[in-house]
Amino acid sequence: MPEFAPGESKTAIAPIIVKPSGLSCEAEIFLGPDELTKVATSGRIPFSSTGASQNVRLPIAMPSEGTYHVYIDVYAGGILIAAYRAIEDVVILPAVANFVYVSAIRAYIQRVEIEPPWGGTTEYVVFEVDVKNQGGIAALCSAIASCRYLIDEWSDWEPFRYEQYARNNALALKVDSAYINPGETVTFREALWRFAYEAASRIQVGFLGDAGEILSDIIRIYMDQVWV
Amino acid sequence: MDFKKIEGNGPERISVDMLDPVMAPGVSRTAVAPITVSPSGLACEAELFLGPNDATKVATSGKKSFTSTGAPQSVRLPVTMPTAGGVAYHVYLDVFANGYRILAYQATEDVVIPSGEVGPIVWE
Repeated sequence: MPEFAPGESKTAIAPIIVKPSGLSCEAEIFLGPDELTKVATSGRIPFSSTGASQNVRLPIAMPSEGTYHVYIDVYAGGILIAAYRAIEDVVILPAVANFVYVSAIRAYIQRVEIEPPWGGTTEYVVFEVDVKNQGGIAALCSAIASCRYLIDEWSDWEPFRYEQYARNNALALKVDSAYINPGETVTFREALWRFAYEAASRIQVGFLGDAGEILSDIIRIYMDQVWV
Repeated sequence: MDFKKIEGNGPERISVDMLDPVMAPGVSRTAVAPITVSPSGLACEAELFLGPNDATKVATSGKKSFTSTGAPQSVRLPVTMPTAGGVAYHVYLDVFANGYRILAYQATEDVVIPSGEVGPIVWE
């Protein structure tokens, strides 16, 4: 049986033959426990008969969780001329959260205040990525950043390094978990001390969490800029 | 639905209250035809029928009896639509007096009995 998410928009393509040609016709697909109860419907979609099979597109938004019969009615000149029930029911699955990365990893240099009693600023490279909940319910999402660096060969993946003087201010930029509502996008972020891998010729960052894994381009930090 | 005279001595066109151009298969409808036969007092009959031509009756009211009055009279002609769909049928109206056909009309538009079928759907 076809399975869909609640509220998901789908289009049924129905091959319909109405004879003779030239008639003003309509078709409607609807879901329900019986043919009298329309829980979801495409409404009547107009078309002109050709006397041959034609694919009529019937868009419909899926209802809430449950199993439903599928009905198709065909009208010609306003008269119901065909009424069908699909062999297979449609199953609407329980609503779940579905987290998806909707951007590449972005990187930019940001100056961070050095904490008292020292003053001034230091540089951090901020890495961030957008995650969207494409599911039907809100849930907690996590995305943890790590990085690896290239000196003679690539290191293992390790957590971000912070220096001691602006650590707390840099950590304030960190977003590694968020409660995301359906349709909402949250930016996950962590800052890497720019000089942590001064000896490295290249670094790469990855986020790993409920949206899966995503890797950044291999980058080089030089002359106050992030280079790909 | 308008009917145009094919044969006989009568109005060139008459309007029959009954038929929609599109009918469901097997549905019953009653046509009410304004028929004038002169002189009065004649034993008359009227018949409404559907077919591909005036010699082939796919559906008919049969001959309905009435007595002429010399003035227009509404004659009721019940017809059950054919069950075979997907076809357009010509509509004919014949009027008889004392067994002789005196008027023949054909509707200016056909009656369509549509048919429909739906194949397996695909979800996109």
